[in-house]
Amino acid sequence: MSHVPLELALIWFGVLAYAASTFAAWRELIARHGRGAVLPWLAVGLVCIGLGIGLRWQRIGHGPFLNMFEILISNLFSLGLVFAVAYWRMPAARAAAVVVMPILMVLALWALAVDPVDTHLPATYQTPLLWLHVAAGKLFLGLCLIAVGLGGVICLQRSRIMQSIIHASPPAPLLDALAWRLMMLALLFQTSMLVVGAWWAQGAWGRYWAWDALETWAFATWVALAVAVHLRRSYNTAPIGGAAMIFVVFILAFLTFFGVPFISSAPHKGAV
Amino acid sequence: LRFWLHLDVPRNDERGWVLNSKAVRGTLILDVEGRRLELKLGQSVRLPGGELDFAELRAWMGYKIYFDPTLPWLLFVAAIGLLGLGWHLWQPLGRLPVVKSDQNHGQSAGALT
Repeated sequence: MSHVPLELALIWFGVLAYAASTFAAWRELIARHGRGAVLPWLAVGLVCIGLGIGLRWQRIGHGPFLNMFEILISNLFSLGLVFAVAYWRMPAARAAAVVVMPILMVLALWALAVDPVDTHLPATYQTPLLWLHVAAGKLFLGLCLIAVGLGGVICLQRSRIMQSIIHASPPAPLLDALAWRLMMLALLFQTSMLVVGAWWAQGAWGRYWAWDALETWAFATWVALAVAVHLRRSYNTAPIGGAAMIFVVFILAFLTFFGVPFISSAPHKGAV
Repeated sequence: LRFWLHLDVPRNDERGWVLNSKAVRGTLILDVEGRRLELKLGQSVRLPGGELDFAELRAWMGYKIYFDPTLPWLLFVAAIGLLGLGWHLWQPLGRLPVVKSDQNHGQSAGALT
């Protein structure tokens, strides 16, 4: 068997493990059965997807940075890893799995529907700054994703239908406080991503900021996040209002990461 | 066969300069097996195996030399800003409920100011 089917098979198996983790998350929230199955399945998924990415990396000679398939599988891994660490270290964040895992499943199904065509790494991407920029971006989006999960649980708790079937979730004030602390951390990482990205752009394209589509949307996301953190800290908004602000920031971030680079013709999309 | 272009215009390196193919004339210098030939625009020359026609000057590669001495300071200021933001958020971040027991629900909830 050549490497191509094996790497794809590993990624598909990882997606199946993510699906099992999603099922376990909902089962734990609703029925209190099968406790402890979320993290093991998530870990299995991470190992499989990580191996799949590694094999592909070895075969084509560079990491998953360029086309939609690569962006999706790398985020499946990185977002899953950030959530796995949070799930392991922060018990209050575990309830977020019922929202986080379905979002990861959307990315997973999207990845399976995209052509896994090989890419060529441009010279402008061969810099250590790429790693710092990408790492900061992934941490930002991962923290945002967990906050969205916590906000989603706050919303589920307020739903009449869900109230009757949810048995185990922390109180809304705790979820809200944890979510916003993660959002503040996300703000630091997103700011780092923009600064390092400007540094990289100066060397790669001779300009540190050009208001291309991706830069503009990344800046809009940063402004939305900064305003949301300011509002939350200054006015101590109610958990449901805080959750709404988190959703808005995440939607902007999601569009920036997975939408703008692939509908724009700007160089920043990864073509050069 | 080797060839290069000699531009028939005075050039001032102290000022920005653009090669306009419609306004600028050039001479195409040829080295054919050690023999030097010069072609003006529109001229042609018969060579072993064919004819070379200097039809027009259409494109070239250009470079923009850019230097901004304030850029390192801009990066420095951005780094200071990032550290300042981190310092500003440090106190509420320090209360992240990183605990291992499920029994600690509610202990870390509260205002973030």
